Amino acid sequence: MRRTALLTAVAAAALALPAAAWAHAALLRTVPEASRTINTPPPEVRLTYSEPIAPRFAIVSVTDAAGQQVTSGQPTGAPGSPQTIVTPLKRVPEGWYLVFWRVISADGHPVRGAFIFAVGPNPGPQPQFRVPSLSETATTTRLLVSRWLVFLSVLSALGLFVLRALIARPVVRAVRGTSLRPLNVALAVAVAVALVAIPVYVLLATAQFTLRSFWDLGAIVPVARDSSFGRDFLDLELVVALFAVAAGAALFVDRPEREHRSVVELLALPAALATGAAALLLPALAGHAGQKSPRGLSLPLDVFHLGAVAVWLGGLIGLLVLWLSAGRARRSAVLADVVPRFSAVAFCSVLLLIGTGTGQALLELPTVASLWQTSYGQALLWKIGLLAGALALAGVNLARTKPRLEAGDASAPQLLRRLVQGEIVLVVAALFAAAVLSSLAPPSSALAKVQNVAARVGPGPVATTVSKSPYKLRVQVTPNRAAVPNAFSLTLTRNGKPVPGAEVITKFDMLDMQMGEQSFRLREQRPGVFSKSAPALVMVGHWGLQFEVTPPGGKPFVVTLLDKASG
Amino acid sequence: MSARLVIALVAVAAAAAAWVIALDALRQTL
Repeated sequence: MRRTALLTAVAAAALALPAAAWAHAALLRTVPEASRTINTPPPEVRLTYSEPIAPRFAIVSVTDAAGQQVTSGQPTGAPGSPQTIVTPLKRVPEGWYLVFWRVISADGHPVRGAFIFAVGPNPGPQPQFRVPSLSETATTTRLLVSRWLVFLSVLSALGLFVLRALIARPVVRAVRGTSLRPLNVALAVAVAVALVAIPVYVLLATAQFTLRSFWDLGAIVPVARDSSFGRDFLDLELVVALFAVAAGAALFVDRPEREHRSVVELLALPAALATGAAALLLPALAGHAGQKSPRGLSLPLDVFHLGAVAVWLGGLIGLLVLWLSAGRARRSAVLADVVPRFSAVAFCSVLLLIGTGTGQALLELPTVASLWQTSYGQALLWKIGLLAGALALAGVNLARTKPRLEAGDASAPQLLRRLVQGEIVLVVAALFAAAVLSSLAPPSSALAKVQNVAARVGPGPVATTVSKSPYKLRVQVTPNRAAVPNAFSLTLTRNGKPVPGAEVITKFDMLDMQMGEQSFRLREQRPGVFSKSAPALVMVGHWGLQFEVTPPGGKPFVVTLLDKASG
Repeated sequence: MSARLVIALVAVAAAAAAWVIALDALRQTL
């Protein structure tokens, strides 16, 4: 029953984890208790999580040793406890049962897990269960593209409004005959795309989470608002619609040909800007920032980050629209008036973008190495690289094009258009990297514990020797596979001679997802040889194996291996 | 009341509604 003991230890470790450190829903308590034998058949399975769970998106499968389902209904919420879901069972005979669950976290990421329990008094030997594999992620191409389109359209719309209402407005007086109507049209197009893209994205994600087809609208639409992720994005749809009303009203009453704004204009413009600000809060709430503590810091960082991108991206698109619509005769004059003002604003928003982005990275990434070791970090590096390219083009614009425009150089508008087009392409690509980034789970904070890795091992049986002066440690893990008992052995030598009487503690940290640390004391089998057999590698993926060794009369030291366990 | 003022008040009402929605979403998250 070592396995039972281990699973109990895992459950206990999960219970000990502080819920605040967890970005996703974590299973805190189960009835029946995981890995225990109970003497009366349970009427139901109760699962309690660290955050409220939408039962409609939960999948709970309970199977016997033969793989037959023994549930008698769908999961439902427990009255008075939104964090608990209850799944009714048929009357089950003695034997072993596997509970497999999958729920959707508040930020829209699926989380899954499994545990076993037995109905006694004589459940018999524990069978080898196969955990159902549900291959699902938040990063399918359809979901990524629609998420990117949502960001692109909403942020462009907000930025275009800022350019039209604040930055480009005086050009009407500076250059006679200039019309701002093309900017209004571009804004209307961006808002229209956003109003279509947001519900399509929510429905695609809901279809994914309920394992249904997108076209099964009759089943998806009624539950779209049941997940907190879907609720936040449908709220975003409402706020974008309100922004369309407010921005439309503000632009309708705007008289750019007058130098001073009237009271009516001064009432409508801040209202429209405030509506836009509300639209920035909702994607932040629906994403990682809404789940990451301290939220008092991560939410404002995300809102300002989104605002800065909006001003930059929308402004660039607006400049391109002005270039295209101004006509050859006025083009130079229009750009010479607008570009210097936009440059100043864009410079500030880029500084804000870098500052808030750095702050978010410091909050999200547990170690510097997780930048290149995790797919989250890699998406972030792509995003930073693309933005750096866009910044280089912006720098050329600021240093070269702006003075030439102001000097009335005839070739300057052409150069500006090329650079602005390049900048837009790079920012839009960076936005795609952001869509990928916000669809991936941030790296596990356990990564911070695993530093100074002595060796990378696995998949497959491990036999490796590492030096920790003056000692040599030979580590063996067989068969180094997930969810089966593995033999862990450590041979400690000094100058080629075994070191008996040491204390060796092994700690296991799952690095791909949050899952409490487990630790075991290795028993000395022969002088200097310490070992234990345990199914400690509960799932496939990367594990941090730390060996804390206290030699007799010597200083304790830690050796860390990065292990990849296969299935 | 002039038509322009009514339109501006529509914008103000939209902003108020947007913030009610956003703050309610914030309340549910926190």
